[in-house]
Amino acid sequence: MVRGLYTGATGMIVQRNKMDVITNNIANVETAGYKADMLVTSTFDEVMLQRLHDPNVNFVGAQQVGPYSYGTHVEEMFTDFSTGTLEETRRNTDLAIVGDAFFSVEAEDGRVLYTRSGNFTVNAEGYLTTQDGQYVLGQNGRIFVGSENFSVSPEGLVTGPMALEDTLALVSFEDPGVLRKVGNSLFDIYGGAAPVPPGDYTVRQGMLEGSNVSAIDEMVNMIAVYRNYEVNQRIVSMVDKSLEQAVSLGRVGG
Amino acid sequence: MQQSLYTAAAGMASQQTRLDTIAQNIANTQSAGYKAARVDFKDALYQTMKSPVLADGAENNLLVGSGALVSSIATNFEQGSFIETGEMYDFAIAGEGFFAVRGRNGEVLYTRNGSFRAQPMDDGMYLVTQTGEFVLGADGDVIRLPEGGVRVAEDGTILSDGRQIGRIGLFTFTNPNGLSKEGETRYAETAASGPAQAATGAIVQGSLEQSNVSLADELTMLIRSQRAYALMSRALSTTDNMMGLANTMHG
Repeated sequence: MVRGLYTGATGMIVQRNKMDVITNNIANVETAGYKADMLVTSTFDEVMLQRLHDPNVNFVGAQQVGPYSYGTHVEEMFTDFSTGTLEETRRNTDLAIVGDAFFSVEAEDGRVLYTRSGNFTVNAEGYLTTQDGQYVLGQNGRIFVGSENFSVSPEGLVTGPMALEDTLALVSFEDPGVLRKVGNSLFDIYGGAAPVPPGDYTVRQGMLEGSNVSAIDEMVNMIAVYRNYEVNQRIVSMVDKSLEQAVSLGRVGG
Repeated sequence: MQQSLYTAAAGMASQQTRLDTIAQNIANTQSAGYKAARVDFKDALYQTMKSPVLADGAENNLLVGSGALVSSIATNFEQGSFIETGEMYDFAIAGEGFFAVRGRNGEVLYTRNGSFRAQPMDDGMYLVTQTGEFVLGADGDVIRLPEGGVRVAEDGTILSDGRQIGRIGLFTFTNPNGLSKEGETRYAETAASGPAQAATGAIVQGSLEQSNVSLADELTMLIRSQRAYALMSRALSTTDNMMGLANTMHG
């Protein structure tokens, strides 16, 4: 009976974690290039329950009752890399990728990170950067555009009256599951995988890729999580009540 | 305490900034030379959850985010439409560039609002803004006007009876979005904008550049922002209810 208390509690913890992830999606429903996360849950490894001290069983050792799981836990994160809605902004420094590719940017510590958020800007030195000042990378390194007056072809070729001609360093991944979010709309690789040349893609200038979070899906998920949490709470409460009964059994003249 | 409570709050705060910006844009649909602002977001920091089945410190991808932040409030320097006023001291800029004016404390400010006037002073007439600050020439000095009106050519040259008497300055920046907003549609140079350079825009006399705010765009954005805000506030109240359930488990 006490096992049920902990099983219910694992359910509550998992739903709480799910709620954290859903809320983060909702908070980023308007974030350019954001990719929705989903938490995958799984049961704990099953164990065999054994019946001990059964007077009807007379062979040596315990009789197995059947498998039992100690509840549920979070297993892994799944990120949905589908393309978000494209929005026309008519701004030269806004770039959107249609298809399977990422922009490469140079972080402050020199590492290369990846992003789908193409709301770039031009810094005072004339380089194309992210809003946080990380350099957007081309085939020849940092991209010099000189002013906001430049154009980007669908293939990613950057040209302009002051710009040094370069092609955006767009990359893809055999398994986008190796990408891990590091905040500021950037992704880092983990597990030692390497980027590969992108497949089919088109770069659109003057457009932005919105968040791919579906407000309706998240709303439904949120309701489901809440009700799941509630039912797990009920289980814990019920076990609690039963325990209370068991405890008061022993009271004489109660 | 549950993370989603703060995640939702961070998202709401970001949307609030955008709602404020939209309100500011809408309030300036009639301001000459006003440029619409746009709020962009980015996702905030991620923390790694502890996996109950992996050893401590083992790699996992269980990330929990902490909401959204404002990444920039960028200005849209797209050309506004012209309105013909026929006034001698009204100017509009076609293409890139800013007029320079001398602020109240002697600093140089930049603006696209070319609604100027002639101000008589002890030693003659000067070109000033509607609020009385000097308009600066290409040489960075104040502009003294002759008697009897002027004609201003596209490149800013001021002509009086066919004689060149000065030139209205037109300046631009490598990163106009790095300019700091000083109010009254004026901007100041910063390290992020880079230094002022001569601009290639053309000056049109007798016209004013209207605000480039598109009311349709702003209202669409207002609806989106409001809906996002409502959704986040729903996440906040759901989290609150979950915490309430946890608190009433025993009793």
